[in-house]
Amino acid sequence: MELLLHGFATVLQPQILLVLIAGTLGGIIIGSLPGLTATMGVALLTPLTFSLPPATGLVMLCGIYCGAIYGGSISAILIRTPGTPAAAATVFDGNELAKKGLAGKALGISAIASCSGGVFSALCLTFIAPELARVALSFSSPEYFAMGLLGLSIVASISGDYVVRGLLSACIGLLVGLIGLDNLNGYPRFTLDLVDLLNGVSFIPVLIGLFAVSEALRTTESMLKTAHVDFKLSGVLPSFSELRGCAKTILKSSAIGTMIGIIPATGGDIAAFLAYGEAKRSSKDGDKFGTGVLEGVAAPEAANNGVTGGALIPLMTLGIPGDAVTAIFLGALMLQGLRPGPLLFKDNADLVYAIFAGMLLANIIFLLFGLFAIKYIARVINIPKPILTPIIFILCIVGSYSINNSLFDLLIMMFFGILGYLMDKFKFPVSPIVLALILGPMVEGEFRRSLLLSSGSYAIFFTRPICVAILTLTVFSIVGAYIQQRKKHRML
Amino acid sequence: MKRGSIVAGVLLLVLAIAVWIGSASFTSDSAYFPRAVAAAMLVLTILMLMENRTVRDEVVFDWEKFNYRRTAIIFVITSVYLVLLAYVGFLITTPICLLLMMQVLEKGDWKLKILSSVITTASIYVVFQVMLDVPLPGWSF
Repeated sequence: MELLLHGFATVLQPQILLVLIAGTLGGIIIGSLPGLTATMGVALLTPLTFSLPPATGLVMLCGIYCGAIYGGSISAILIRTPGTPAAAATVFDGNELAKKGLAGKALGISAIASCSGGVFSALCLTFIAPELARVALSFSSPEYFAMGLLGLSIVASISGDYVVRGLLSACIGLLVGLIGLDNLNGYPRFTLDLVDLLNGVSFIPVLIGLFAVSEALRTTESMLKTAHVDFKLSGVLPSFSELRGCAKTILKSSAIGTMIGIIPATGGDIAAFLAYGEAKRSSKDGDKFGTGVLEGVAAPEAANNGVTGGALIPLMTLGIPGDAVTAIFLGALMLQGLRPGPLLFKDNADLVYAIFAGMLLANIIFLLFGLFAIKYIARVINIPKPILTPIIFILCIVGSYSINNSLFDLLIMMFFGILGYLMDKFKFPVSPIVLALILGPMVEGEFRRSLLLSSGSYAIFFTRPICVAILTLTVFSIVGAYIQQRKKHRML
Repeated sequence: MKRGSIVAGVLLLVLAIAVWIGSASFTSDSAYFPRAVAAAMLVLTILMLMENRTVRDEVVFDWEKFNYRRTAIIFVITSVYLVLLAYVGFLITTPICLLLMMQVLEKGDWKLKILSSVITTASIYVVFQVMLDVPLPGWSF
């Protein structure tokens, strides 16, 4: 508790608080713009954080992440287009409420539910993560190798109908991660005799290329007319009885979201649909869902923001990112010279608790924006795509350059932008590249360290119970996802 | 998708073989992991091509919907911008690049576009160079 109070004291310093507010607002704006996902937002704004002190930069990322997930609901409600995939389920009732002239009320309940879900999950993060980290302290190289493999196996489940293609994308990511000097013996690998590649491929330009440049290139294909929103957003604050009616749904959905968040490879969209389904099943007015009921907005919004804190639990305690956003978070931590895992709790407890406090405060901040400034924020939806897309291109370029002040990084960004664009066309998922790029060096390093410990004997992986359990889970995860995909194909 | 998968499959096979051959000169412990990844790629690509036999033919690029000219022009503008950035500098090239791109994506409304280009350039300059002390590419003030 003392550490958490210390975390709050850090975050409440004027400069950090201001950065947190700016990050949250930036996140809301990005999240509310259809086509700009939370992943893209965090990828685009990460370069802003590395020049800041670690606590300030990482707290800003917390704000962007939470704000973007909430922001997705704004366009889902107002123009029937979810700003982020996580807000897809909010469209059903949110837009129906808007059609009835209750857009303000829908936005209000969305802000309250999102905040509740976010705070619930941030509290779980604060109290569960340190305990889990304590358990993980007993892990050694073989267990870390197995954990890394499990993280990579997640690729199979996030690849939807394309498990094999997802695994191939992961192989590409692993190969990219191999470029540069070998971490253990300094041997240069796949550097093409280029000095710029000796330190490996910079993570941020790859990320910006895959998620932002490719998305911007896709946008240029078809310049659809921008929706013009002219809603009268009044009555944002729901009444006490309306809040009481949604309270049970919000609490249940927050718990669903947090649990889904902890499971790697899931995400806000799955959590939102699950919570919506559960709220519909258990509600007295279940048959009215889809016609514009407040519970239909509260359930998915509480769940998708519930994911934010949950997803950080495996990342902070084990160093295993569960999805693309947390992979970027991991990259941002590494840019600051930090390595997530149990030792982070021991060596950088101040920073860890500042992140926890930042997560809690970010949720409160977007609630205030959502209740009192939504009238102005919602106007960003009217920004024409032909104006917005070039700005994204420039931000991609500036962001990629600023990491190392290197023009070579800009070439890397463009290469991965085109690669991401083509991979999407050929139905290859791009998220596995990022996961593999992050986890690859860890898996290889821990594998070789394990063999050094055992004097070259592979038995070390099969004689340690935790390691065997994790490896078994890994095999089940890949085979299960593949069988599921085959079954689905046969049914079609 | 059949033809697209075959093209992708061939490229991946070439990549896997290149990695295998390229790692031949590495020390044995440095070559282990790249070779394992190359082997996995080979197996997975063959699996993908086998799966592909049962998949119906799908369109990879929808040429009717795909405005490839616009995407290509944007790509060229970005490439020229990247080259000029180092020599001419951020503050001069950026508003011109923004304006050109905006015009390619939708013609007309010059006033709004000039204003947006200048404000965006100034905002990025202030945030990165002035507030965060992050240098911008090429010559800037």
